Amino acid sequence: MSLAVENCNDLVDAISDPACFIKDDLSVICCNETFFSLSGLDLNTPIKNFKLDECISLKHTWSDDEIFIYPFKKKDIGIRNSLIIKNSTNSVLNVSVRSVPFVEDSGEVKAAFVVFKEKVEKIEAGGEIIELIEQQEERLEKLDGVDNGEALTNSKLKKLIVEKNRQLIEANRTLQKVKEEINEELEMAKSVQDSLMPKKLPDFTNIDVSSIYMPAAMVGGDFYDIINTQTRKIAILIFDVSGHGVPAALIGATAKMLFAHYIETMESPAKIFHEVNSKLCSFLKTEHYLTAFLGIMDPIQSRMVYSRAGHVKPVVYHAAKKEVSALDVRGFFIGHSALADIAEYKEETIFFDPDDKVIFYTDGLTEGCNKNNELYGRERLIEKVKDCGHMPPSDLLNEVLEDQVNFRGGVELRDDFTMLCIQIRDSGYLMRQSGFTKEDAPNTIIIYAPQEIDGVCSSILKAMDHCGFSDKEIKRIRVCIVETLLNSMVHGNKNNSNRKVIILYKVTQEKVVLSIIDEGDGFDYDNLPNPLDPENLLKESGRGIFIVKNYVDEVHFNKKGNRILVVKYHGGDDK
Amino acid sequence: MEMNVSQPDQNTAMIQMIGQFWKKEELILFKKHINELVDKGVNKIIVDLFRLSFISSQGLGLFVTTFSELKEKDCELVLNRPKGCVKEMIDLSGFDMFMKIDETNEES
Repeated sequence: MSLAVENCNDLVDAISDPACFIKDDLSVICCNETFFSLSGLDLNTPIKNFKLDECISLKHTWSDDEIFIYPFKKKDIGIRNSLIIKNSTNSVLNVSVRSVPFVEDSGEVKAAFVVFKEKVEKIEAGGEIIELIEQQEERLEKLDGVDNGEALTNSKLKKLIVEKNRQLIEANRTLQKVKEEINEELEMAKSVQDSLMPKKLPDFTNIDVSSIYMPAAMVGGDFYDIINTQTRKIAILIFDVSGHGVPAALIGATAKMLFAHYIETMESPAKIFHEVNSKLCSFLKTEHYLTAFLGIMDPIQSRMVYSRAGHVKPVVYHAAKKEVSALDVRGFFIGHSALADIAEYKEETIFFDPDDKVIFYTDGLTEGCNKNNELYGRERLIEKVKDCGHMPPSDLLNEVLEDQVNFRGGVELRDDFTMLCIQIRDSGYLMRQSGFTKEDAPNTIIIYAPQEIDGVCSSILKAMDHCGFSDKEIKRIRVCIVETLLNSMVHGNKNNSNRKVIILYKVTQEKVVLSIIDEGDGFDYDNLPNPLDPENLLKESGRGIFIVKNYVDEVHFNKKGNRILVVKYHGGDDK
Repeated sequence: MEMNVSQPDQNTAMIQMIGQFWKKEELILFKKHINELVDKGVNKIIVDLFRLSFISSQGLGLFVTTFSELKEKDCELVLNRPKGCVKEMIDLSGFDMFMKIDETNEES
């Protein structure tokens, strides 16, 4: 991830506390609305003309006092709580101010992110503290003006040059060796990153997914993943580590493991961000950080809960209206120890209509430059999505890619980028296939392997017990669940554990209805051999459906033969 | 589930099935026990189902193929004391038409 104005905007915009980005000359590049409204700035004043070291008055939210930021020095960048704020009546407010430096490869501070965090206590300061502040200010000013120069004689200068030349030759040799080692390390980093990218995106019944990753010359910090949660929702994760090379790849790998762990145990994107941030901050002591977006999608309800950690806002294409919108929710970026204890994450929910799409991406896409150093930009992306939103996900992403490549006109990518597109299909399709209606509101479970059958039995049989079904009825339905699910996995899905089996069920006091759908080609249920015929008696298989038919009141198959619907009435006559 | 294998005499073996019999690893284990008993030279294997609470059609299918294979080796497979759902499924599948289903306690 590189630092461009658009990216800065996304970072500050994602935060609800006053926050801004400053350049190394302390001029403000951009700020969020909270900062703007509290600063009392004139709306007509261009923000870039405003410098943070000029005493700004911030009208603080917990008091009506006019307060002044203590003059901000370049040396303050990166120091926690480096600013003290005093108000017009000379009392000092304990406001936590964090600044995160953005350092170039040369080690030079290019910019800083500054966030002001409210602290509840207010310190009534006497002259002592004010004096301390003033002393500090004078000391910093003196340091700025110190001249360390020293007069040198010619002979001293000559010796110095010879010595420096020797050192340079030595350094050059070392550099050559280091360069080779770095190249090896970069190759390793690239293979780490490659190995963590999903090789094949999973198939989902009513969600289509497509992705494109464009590497740049240097190993980038883009990662994405699509994970099935324990309750069979779909977690869509995309994140971008600051910087490039080995550190970005290693931090990305660590973050991805942490995300995978927490996605397995939690379903709240905001809580997952909070946990990953705490863990990363506890053992990462570098200047790297990452922006992320996480959506937990319920494919049956066509609903996604999402949280954003300073990441670029995904674009939503609303198919019915042919309009686009952004997935916006505020949250701090992840993994910077200076912000560990103040980072907050929120989450929102979006409901999709059939054929809606979401395009997740990393900033390398919009920051692709042409030869005039113009950025591809979010506006061009949005226009392209509006034009091509009706296309299938893979075609849409290819159109965007082609547009960006054409725009760059041969200019190399500065940063790698990733695009991920999901399309929400009509969830009514699944209902129609299942034999239920939306009004039935059946429960849904998706499983992939026989080990998960016990969990399905447990859910359905508990509901039957609750509705007063007899032990005998419950035991027989258990047989039916195991038989139909094994049938779907073994014969339908051909033991392919990447294929899912969807169970929709509804238990009432009147009846239990189960619909089992697999992803196989289906088979001819109408002409199943009778296992009691003499020629079939000693065959290994062919009894499952026969037994199910004997245990329930109704059995229906769909035309394709990949769905079975069984109905058992409560207290119905046993066959 | 549990499978307890015993050999009351040189020619007879018993496999006591306890719990549920339908998972792949359980089917494999049953097959392994049968092969070991055949290697020992027994000519009658009694499968005690009294404490078996659940079986799948795959489990039943394995009993059928085992029955056929043992028959070729002059070894008899007897299903003993099935009850509840297990008995229902054995009866539904017409096992009594080709093999012995013993309702008595063979051990006693």
